[in-house]
Amino acid sequence: MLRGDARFTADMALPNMLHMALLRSEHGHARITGIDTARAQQMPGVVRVVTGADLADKLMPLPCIWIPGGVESHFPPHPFGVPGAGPVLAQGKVRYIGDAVAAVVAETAHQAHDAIQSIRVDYELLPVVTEPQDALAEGAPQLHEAVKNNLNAYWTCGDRQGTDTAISSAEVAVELDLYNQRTINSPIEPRAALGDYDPTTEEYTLYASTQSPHNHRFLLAELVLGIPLNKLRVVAPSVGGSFGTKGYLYPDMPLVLYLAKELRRPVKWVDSRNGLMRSTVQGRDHRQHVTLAGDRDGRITALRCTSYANLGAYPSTIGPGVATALMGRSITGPYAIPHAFCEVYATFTNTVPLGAQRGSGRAEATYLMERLIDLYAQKVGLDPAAVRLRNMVAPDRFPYDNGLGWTYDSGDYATALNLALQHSDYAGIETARSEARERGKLLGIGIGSFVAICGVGPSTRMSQEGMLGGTWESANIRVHPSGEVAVTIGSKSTGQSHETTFAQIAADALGVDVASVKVFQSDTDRTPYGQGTYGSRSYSVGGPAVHLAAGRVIAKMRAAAAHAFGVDESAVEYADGAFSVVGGQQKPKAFNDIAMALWYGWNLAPGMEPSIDVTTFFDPPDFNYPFGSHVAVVEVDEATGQIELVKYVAVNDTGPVGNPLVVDGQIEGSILHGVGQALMEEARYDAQGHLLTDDLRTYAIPRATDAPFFVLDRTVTPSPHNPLGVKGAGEIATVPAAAAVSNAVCNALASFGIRHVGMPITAEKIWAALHEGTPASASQSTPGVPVGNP
Amino acid sequence: MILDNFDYVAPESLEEAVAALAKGPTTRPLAGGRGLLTELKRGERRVERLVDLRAIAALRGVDQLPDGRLRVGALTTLAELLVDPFVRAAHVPGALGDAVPEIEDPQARNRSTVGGTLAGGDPGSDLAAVMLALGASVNCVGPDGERVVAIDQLFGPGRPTCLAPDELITSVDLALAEPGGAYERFADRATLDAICGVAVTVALGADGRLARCRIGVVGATAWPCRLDAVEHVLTGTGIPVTMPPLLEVDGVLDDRAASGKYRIHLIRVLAERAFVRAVERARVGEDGRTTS
Repeated sequence: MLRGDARFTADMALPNMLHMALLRSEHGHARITGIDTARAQQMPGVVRVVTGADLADKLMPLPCIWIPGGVESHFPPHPFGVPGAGPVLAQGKVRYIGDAVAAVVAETAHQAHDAIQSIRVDYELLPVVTEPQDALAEGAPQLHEAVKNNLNAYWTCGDRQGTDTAISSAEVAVELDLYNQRTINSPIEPRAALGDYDPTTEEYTLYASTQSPHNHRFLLAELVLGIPLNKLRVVAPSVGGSFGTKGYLYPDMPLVLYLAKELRRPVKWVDSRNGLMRSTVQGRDHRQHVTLAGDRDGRITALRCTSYANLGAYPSTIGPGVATALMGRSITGPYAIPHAFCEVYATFTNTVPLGAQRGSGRAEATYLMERLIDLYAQKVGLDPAAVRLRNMVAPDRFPYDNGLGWTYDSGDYATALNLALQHSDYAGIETARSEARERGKLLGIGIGSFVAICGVGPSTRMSQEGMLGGTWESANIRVHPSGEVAVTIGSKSTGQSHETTFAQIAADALGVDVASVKVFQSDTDRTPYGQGTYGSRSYSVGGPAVHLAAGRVIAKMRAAAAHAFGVDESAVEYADGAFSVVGGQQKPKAFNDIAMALWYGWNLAPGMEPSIDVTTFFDPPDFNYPFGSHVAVVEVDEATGQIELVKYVAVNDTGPVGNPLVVDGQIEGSILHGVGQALMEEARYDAQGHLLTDDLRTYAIPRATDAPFFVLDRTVTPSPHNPLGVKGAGEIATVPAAAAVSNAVCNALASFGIRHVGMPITAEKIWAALHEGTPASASQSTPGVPVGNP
Repeated sequence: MILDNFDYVAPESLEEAVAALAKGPTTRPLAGGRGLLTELKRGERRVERLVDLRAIAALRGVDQLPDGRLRVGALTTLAELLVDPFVRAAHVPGALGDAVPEIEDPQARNRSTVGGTLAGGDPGSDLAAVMLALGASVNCVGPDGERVVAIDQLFGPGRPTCLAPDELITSVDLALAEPGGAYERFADRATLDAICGVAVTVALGADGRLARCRIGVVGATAWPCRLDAVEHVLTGTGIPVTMPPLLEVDGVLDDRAASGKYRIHLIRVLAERAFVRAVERARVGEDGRTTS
């Protein structure tokens, strides 16, 4: 990857390949009254132009497979009875700015791109709604005929009555209106798909930038294309980042397959950055009213959240679940709160469909909890760290039922916070604050404490949550006669170093050199079934599968060794890569000797099969619950409002760590994701549903130069839910990061009476807040200020 | 994005280049390509023909003129400018030395040229602010021959620059460096372009008064401009204890990146900061002369 050798879908070329371009809607909401493709058909190199009308009875809509509202959920219909979603190409109507209207296939990408521009679409504009509360209002524009009032689901968890009573009788209550703004995922590699069809075998192959090859195969074959599962193979070449977006179904995937069959030639589509921003699932987007109540001594008694979630124009593959269960059940974070309740109005609007973004659901929950606890501490006049410590779930209370649907597995939340406070010199902060003040800087410190819910999940539990599909993982280990090892996994790396981490698990458990282990992934024809990489689950769900497979490999090799030694299995020990008889004189047999013996199969114990090839499946008993505390230190330039993140301390507990370098890299990257949301990222739509931030010149993401010097540390609390004791790591640090940075900025501004600044916290927002009441002076009336020395 | 087709020529002499450009407005000169190629890739501009200037040796290099001023060839890249011994001697530290390392990133500075940057007329061009504060003059050539354009005249409302489509910048002459200069900028998070950039140069009189002062502003206004009124108030006075009011600033931008009010505020803050540093540098320069 670092050498530039990685092969992405866009790098692939098959013989005789055609190129596809998509025409996307120019409007947020409109009826299509006519499409004229005649001119495009005549353009040089154009082979085929298709519109929604050509596909109406050929390709099913893209299904949604996570329906947390159960029977209370309302979806656009799908012919197979599952909850439907968007059509592959618009059928008579466009509902957001990225809706695909037509596709052109041509000899070159350039020709397809040119021809797209000569398709004429007649639109009858319809009223647009981009905000969930507006969409629920009477008389609002209706997106889907089958969905009344644009309400996909009203979803609740927790104890409504108990919470309301606790709040109304509390000594202290703090309330806040929050906007957890919509964000756009920005993987370096935009999505791409290449479809191939073999008329001899009637088999399709999809090469695509996906994080879930097996899931995509299942959903595309069964629910979109309507073909036998064994006629579709999905291969994921190198994937250049995903952050949750590439586990979703998109129109281009079935399109390239359908067109490859129609045209009997491979068809390739590669997205642009602009296309990505207009059509790849977006993240967050909740408007919330939140209340926290407690006593005057800093003991929290209740937490309540009402959230309006903006699902976008269609229910994306698992989007509705992210916006409801994953957010709502997580709002109490690491605190023991006796009464909690969350309600979510999951609502359709004329915006890009909502999906996951790293830390999805849990980051939104943590932000509201962590902002509220700071305001509460302020109100009762206590230190925010002390209030956190007072309310954290104590180590002797695990397993801990948070009252909202999660049962936390293990943890020592206070120790992690205390460690983070030490690293950030929390005690000495007032000295630092006055020193900064002399430089014209306002210093602020903010804490983000969190529990992440990772390792999705036990299949039964997810079915109760309304998810269609299992959530187990698998591994196959084959030991070659030479003693080298092939590990084949069902999950797929999108840049998380599966190749390294899974090799390490196998090498550790097998007692062999890690260099002799090769990891295979990415191809549905060549890997055991797996559900994909999401929710920080590859290592914590797929990892145990590798570990268990390795255990079975060693068990078989021990039996083979015992037979060769002529002793009972219990007399054989395996250490330092060799089997030997305990206390015996026989020459030990190396790992590869036994591998070779099983390969020859000349002298096997009765009933023993030759060779070594083991497949295991692991379905955890529950999620796992990584946790930690982060502390951000910022300096705000009082004159300009500019924010500098000067220090960031992150103490995380992901259980035992496989590869510290890999984990720390994930931690740093995911912190920056949160920093991005806190300080710069925001998808903005105008009233007509046009996306105003549709490229990287209008949508800011963090750069390397925005990264502070990270101080990383960890505590290690194993999870009882898997044999490695490991917990998710890939996304967890995003969960508290936006909250920690927001808290730090609000802390810096607290002495000015500023209570809250919404994300993204830009310099201009701070300047405006600092100057509130003193409106910005017109140039003529600006009073002079001292400069220089006379 | 995929570029549209266009013709491409790479003349080796200035005369050939000027002749090639006379073909019409859809013919554009190509210098470093930092601005133009980006526009083409984004489909924001279409051309029928590109005239690549990079083979023209006469457009390269920095020379010192007999009167001590520096003549910077139009194709001198920003990276070359930073390491040129003449430039370093006269302008580092100074407004130019402050600004150039802040312009985009190393790759962009390896491509972007002085002439191309100024000819692009980007209202957020840090280099334009510096050139305004340095009192540069721009040497141009076109079908009607050569002419010299004062930097103040190059930019203005309603057009990127006052150059004709078939006119080229050949070089930029920098006035003798003032003893003190500094540049301050405030960048947009997404583009890293200046929402506001202010370059200041000052000269102190023997009496400690401000003998000369030039202030160039970019990013906050629709075209690079001088703060003439402020300069006027400051010049000839003692070093002021207060920054005078901005008076009239025309063409203040108000857009996605920042509101007009905030930009006006930034002009003041950054002008103050640049002014203070420029005066400090001027004083250090004086001390240096006194002791040597």
